Amino acid sequence: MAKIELTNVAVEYPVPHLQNRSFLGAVKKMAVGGLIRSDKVVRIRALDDVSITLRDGDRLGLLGRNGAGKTTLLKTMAAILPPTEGRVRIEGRISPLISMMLGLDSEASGYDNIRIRGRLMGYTDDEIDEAIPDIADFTELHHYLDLPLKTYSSGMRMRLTFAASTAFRPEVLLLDEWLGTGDIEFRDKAARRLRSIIDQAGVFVFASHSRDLHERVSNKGAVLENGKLLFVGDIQDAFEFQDSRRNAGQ
Amino acid sequence: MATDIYEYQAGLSNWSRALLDLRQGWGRRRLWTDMAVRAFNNRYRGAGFGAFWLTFTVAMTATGLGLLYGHLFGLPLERHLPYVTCALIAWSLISGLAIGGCDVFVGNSHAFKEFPLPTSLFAFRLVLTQLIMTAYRMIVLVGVIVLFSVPLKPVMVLALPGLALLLWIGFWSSLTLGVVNARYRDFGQLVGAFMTFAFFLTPIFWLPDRLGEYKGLVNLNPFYHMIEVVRGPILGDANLGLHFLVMGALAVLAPAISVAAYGRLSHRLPYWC
Repeated sequence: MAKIELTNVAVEYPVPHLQNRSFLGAVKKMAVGGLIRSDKVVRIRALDDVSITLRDGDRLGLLGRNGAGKTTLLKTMAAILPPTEGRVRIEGRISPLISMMLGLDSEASGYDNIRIRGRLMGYTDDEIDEAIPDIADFTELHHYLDLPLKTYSSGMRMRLTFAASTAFRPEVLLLDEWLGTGDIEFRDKAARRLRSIIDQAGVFVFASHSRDLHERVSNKGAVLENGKLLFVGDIQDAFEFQDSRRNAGQ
Repeated sequence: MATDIYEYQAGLSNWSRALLDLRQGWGRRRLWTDMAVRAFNNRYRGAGFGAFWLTFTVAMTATGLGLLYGHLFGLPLERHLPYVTCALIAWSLISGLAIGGCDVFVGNSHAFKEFPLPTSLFAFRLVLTQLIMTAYRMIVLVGVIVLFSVPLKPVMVLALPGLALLLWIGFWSSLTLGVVNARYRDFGQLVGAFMTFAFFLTPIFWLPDRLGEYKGLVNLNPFYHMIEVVRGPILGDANLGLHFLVMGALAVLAPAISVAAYGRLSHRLPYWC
């Protein structure tokens, strides 16, 4: 059972360099706070009153222009960003397919890096050991897996991190843009593998600008604009809604 | 398999969340031990002496301070060098934990802002890294004990709980130092400056007796007790009970303050870092 439940979620980022961040500033404010009030903190409201519930079987496509809040929403769902207002509840093991290079050790072997990645994603050593043959096989890197990662080309690194990141079956899968990696042959293989973990996930949320991809993997669509969730419904209806907004704007 | 549940309600007390974060951080010990060991090995990779540079640094500093101040104060080297060495090892750990503690979230924000990880994980990792570094520095102590034939006594084993107290207090302090420095970046600089100041103010290379009638004042310096719970058992200290008592109090105070500060502020870390 997987479930995502967001209730009146808002995320407000303070803009660090526009406000006084120093100790001295805080002391000054304390000293003269009673006399002069200058609490003009610049904030960006990246998400505004977002409520949405996703259950098993939901494949949500996030639509919206750059800066609409797609990534912020994904980070909120990924338990990375605690919202400044509202409530988040996620049931099921979450796996964000983001920052696939995070934590890698270029001095360590390919096999060791698979373990590093697995541990980072929160899997036990037994689960990782079980997954290693499949990962090794999928990368097609063979004996290179015994060599340190620094000897790999960037394409080989991508193969390794992609294979390791997609080897486990999370209940909640979050994807920020499609992962296209490697040469054509590998790309097809990667796409099939990604499809298969998407199909097995309970809930899938996918941010992308490509309608083509959304049509293939999403069954629901959500339109974000300036941090507000304007529409949630069928993916085709979401496209239409987005088009009508665009036409109305012109 | 039990279902993982993540729940967050803005505006509610975050204490339970902080405690959960600590539990999860501890639960990920396979991850942070691996991270600590790898980072440690990578840092000294390629250097001929490797991590023994840590040993060498302490040996050199202890020799310099021991020789110079032993001479200035008219103390025999076989007494003063072990005295300085013990203190330097404890001090390196204390200052490493304090300065590293300030950086524990700011320095790892690239990880927890991109991937869901309990932030306390980085405090656990810091403590382990500092423990490994201390182990390398301890080699000098063993050398000094052999070289100057410091008598071995059963009470020496008390240095181990002393060290454990430092690590325990260091872990909790790093949570507080880390969140405060995430918000006010001047804080870390201040702590850095203060530690240099405290190095001279604490009886590391000088004896409290030299203060004459003011020698009781050193007891007001918490760093003195931190040093003495390690040095006292090894070289002898009449006030060992007092040192452990003060450290026991700090060992209770540090978690209390940190759970409050971390509980109150840790949810803001992704915004501040």
